Amino acid sequence: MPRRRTSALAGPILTFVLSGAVADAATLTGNVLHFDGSTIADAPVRARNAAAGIDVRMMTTAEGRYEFADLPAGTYLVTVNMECCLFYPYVNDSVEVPASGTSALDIQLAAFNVNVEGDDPATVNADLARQQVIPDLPVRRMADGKPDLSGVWLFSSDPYPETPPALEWAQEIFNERAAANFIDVPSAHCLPGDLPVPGGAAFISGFVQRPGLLVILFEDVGGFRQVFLDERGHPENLNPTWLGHSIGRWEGDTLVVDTVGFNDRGLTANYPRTTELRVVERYARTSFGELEAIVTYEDPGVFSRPWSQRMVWKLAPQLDVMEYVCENNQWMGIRAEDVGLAPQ
Amino acid sequence: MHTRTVALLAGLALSGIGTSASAHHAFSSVFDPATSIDLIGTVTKVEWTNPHIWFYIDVVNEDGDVVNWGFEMGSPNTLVRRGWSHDSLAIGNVVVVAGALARDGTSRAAVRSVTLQSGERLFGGQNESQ
Repeated sequence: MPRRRTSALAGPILTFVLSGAVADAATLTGNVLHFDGSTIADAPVRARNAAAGIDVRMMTTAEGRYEFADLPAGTYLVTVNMECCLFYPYVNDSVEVPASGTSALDIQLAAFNVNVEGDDPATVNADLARQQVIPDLPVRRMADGKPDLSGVWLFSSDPYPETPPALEWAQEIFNERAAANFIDVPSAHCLPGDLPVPGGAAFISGFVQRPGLLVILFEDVGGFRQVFLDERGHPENLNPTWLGHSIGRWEGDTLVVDTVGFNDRGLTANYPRTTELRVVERYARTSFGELEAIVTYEDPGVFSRPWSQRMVWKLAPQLDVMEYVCENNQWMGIRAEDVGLAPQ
Repeated sequence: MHTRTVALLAGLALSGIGTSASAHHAFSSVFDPATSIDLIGTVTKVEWTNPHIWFYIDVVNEDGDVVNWGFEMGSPNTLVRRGWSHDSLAIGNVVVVAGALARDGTSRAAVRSVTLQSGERLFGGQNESQ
């Protein structure tokens, strides 16, 4: 019987080893480790040094190793953001890289969420991706020559996410929500999540494209979005809704979807939102089996500037979008203090 | 270094979580990931429902009393894709469940794994179910 005991805030292991100075630039290298001590492949490691204009990133090797060479000396911000939600994101803004030699930094990720059977996106998506058989075909095109984005897509997050530039009031609300482990998000009340794929319920979405219309199916409350491709604009005095009103136009082979008309009850990446929210999604089918999605959020009452996520979703031809009716949430209406989580 | 990093985790780092797909509720909000429990018992009920399935087992505690425990897993859609079906667990099955305890102290837990009496783990993922 496997038995795992974990600490919610297991400390990262930090080790620095300096070797002989041989050049003017240094190397930063190490392993990314699970909180159980095993190494993690395909962990997105990023090292930044704003003063030196450095922003380097790489996925760890199959052995869980990363290496950044030719780094100028300085203090680096090193981050690792695994797919939600098994691990806390790793952030260390004080990694010192000397003028030369090799610095070793092993990064052990701390446990964030419970790895619940059938609910952890990282585990579920990795398993599903392995099961898919992707035909070796060119991207299909519609009669008008535009790419056909149709297919079932496996959702994945931006591996190198930008920190949303929230205004102070919005950041405070976010921090309170985080301290309460996001207990009050709309999905906890069987209400819809946010764009581009609400809920992330089963972590897939289905694109159905026809002339003049793209329908996006998803396994969350609401179940579908309509993106009008018939050159109409947004109506006047829009009815505020959870998922907004979407219109799309082509820029070359990229579909640009513009969505406004949101209510102010939903969230943007767990931040508050206003009815001024505008979401712009840019979809490019870079190959038969991959869809690039760049999503920009603009909400001047919440963020100091627009910010974006870039994601690459894998085709999942062996999967179907399934019914999702949220009927049995035993925790609906529960408050943070009910379970001993006082917002700070 | 350690203290500083932990402090950062409480603020900046969580912004990254905000940009990730959120599940129906954060399991860590109602279950404590730092806890572990292993229970053996007989299945009494299965609720094959969204947003998450629940099943219940009767467990005989140290005093010989029977306590009914509830267990939460993922959504039916995701579980089906991982090899489960609505009849994977039948009333009367004896199972061993490993999980994380509910923060509110009730007899509820989030499921990390379900194992049959034979020692066979039920559908921990495609690799393990094949």
